[in-house]
Amino acid sequence: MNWAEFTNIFKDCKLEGDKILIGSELLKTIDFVKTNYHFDMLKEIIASDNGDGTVELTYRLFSPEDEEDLLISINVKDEAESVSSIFESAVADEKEIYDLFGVKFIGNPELKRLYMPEDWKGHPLRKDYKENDERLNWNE
Amino acid sequence: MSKLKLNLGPQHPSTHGVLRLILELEGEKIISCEPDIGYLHRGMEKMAEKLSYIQYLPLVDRIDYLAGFFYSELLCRTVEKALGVELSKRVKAIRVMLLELNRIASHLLWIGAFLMDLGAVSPFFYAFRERELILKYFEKITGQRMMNNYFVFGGVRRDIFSLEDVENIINILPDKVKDYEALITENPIFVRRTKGKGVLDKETAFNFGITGVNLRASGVNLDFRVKDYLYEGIDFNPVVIDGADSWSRYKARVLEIKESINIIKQALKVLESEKELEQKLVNPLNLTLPEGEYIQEIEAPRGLASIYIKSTGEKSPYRLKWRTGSYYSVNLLRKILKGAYLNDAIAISGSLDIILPEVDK
Amino acid sequence: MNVIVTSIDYILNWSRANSLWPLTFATSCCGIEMMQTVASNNDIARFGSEVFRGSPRQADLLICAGTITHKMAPALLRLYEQMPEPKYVIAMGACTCGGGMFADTSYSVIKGIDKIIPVDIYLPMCPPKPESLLDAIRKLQKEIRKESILERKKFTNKHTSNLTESCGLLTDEFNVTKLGVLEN
Repeated sequence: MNWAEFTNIFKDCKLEGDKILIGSELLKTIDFVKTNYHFDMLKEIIASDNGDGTVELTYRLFSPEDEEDLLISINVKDEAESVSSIFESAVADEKEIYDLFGVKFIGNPELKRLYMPEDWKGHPLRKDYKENDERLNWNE
Repeated sequence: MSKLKLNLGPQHPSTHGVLRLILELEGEKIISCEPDIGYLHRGMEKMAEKLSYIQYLPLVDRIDYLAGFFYSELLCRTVEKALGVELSKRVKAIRVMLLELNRIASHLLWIGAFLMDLGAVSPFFYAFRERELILKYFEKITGQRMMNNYFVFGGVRRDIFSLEDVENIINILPDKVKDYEALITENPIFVRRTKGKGVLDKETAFNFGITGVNLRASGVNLDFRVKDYLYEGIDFNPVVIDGADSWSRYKARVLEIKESINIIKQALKVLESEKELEQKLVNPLNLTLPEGEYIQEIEAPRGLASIYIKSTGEKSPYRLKWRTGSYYSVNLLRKILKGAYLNDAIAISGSLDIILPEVDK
Repeated sequence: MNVIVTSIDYILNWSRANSLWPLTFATSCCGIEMMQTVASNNDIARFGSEVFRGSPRQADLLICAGTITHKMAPALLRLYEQMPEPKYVIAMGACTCGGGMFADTSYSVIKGIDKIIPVDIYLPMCPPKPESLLDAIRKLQKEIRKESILERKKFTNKHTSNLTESCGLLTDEFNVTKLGVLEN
């Protein structure tokens, strides 16, 4: 991809290792790389708890034409823009991240608990998660 | 016509485990489908944060019990690449051979289970008979039938033996596959239930993140084995079919079994020429990965599988994430079942080869 | 009196033990080995258990094959309660016996299904080979042959009272009707 052209439009970004760290405008960035550089597939969204209340979301885009990956990452607090209008596969990924990290995706049509029962307390993959559900101690 | 909500699963003979589909019906037509998953969520990713790498290694097979080798390979590969360990030719050939045998076993099980979903019982018995041969061999060399835990960081647990068993398997299999094809492929009932059903075009497949056989049956030549370093020097052609329906997905899997046999033959040749097992195993005690992020990929039987590890230099990963093919296939059901009839729902979801531990992790 | 009871017992037990109809309840890895047990090479039909039923109302035996999580638990209890008496349970695999590999570190796996339903035969190993499942079925048949109609009554009464008292699953929180077949 054309890095100079990209930084011209999105000034709020920097290269960190082999991934692009952006500050805002997630939806716009992903839409841009999809339409201009043919990154037609979203392989996955990786979420990782930074430990200071923020969650790092890494979008792993893939271009089937050139068979190469593009990593775009953003730090969010509790809310993020949903990219489900661009990639349908993001619906599943965002549901998973909502369940495990508690990040709300604005615009996702089906946001609710996925893996855990609906009344489960806490989001298990956060670093400050404590196993305090009474279900863990049935009959003991 | 009044609408009806129908609950398919989690205990249903044809949902391959514990998938629950909430279907909205108008007559017999499905107007919306919502997959409800998580009935087998075992918290594999959180467990990785509490265990060291070598403690986590045996668990990894359970992510996909039909193709456990692929997930061990991913974890081993991440550690090897991070520490700069090179694999010798023999180790690579052993791994390729076992991975492909595992792929065949997985596809065989799929053929049996899929045909059972459609109501045909005898292919199930035939497919399991051949699968048992492969499992017997796995048991001989690894001590376990499904959870092999045979790959370790830097190589394999011990040298491989009784290669004549593998030769026997690949001599028997082509004839058996011919039998299945004679029995199934042109069978009028099977054709009517699968031809033109569950059509998945290219753009939808990309949009939903579908990879693997399901994508190649839609006419896209995308096989991650081509660029894989393990498969270097091995000559094979990815199976690509234009058709995009359930029938093509069946056909692609059958052809892929043949292609895997071809790969195993080449791996056996390498094993014959490289008799000595040279490997430098990584000491698993106090094993730490240098700080950073690692991503590795492999072409698993159910699509692209990848691992993401974020290490802070501790004994256990800071964050570990799996990407599995089935997870996105389940998400695809929302789209692909819309407008289909209820009696096709099982046939279509079966043809995508969904397995639930991979979905729920 | 005793003569009549024992001869009825003999006939009942003989027929029950030799025609155990299992429920298709495969949640994970062990389910595949259960399928292998049904398939060629191992052929469960030799012991009269080849009739796998999709509906719990037609089944006598619940082979719980695979990990049970907190989300699955209400469904498991519901299935067990839907089965007609006399019913038997085989806990297949280490996960169902006591959590297995997931016992210490997983937050969502139930550490043994005996916290939810009564278990007749425990079959550890991860996963058990088809031969060991056959062995478990043989052992269960042996147990069934020892039963008497008078004692089984006591046995089941004890089980049901255990369930409702100690399990705590039937509270609103675990409202099993959430899993209803028809909604709206």
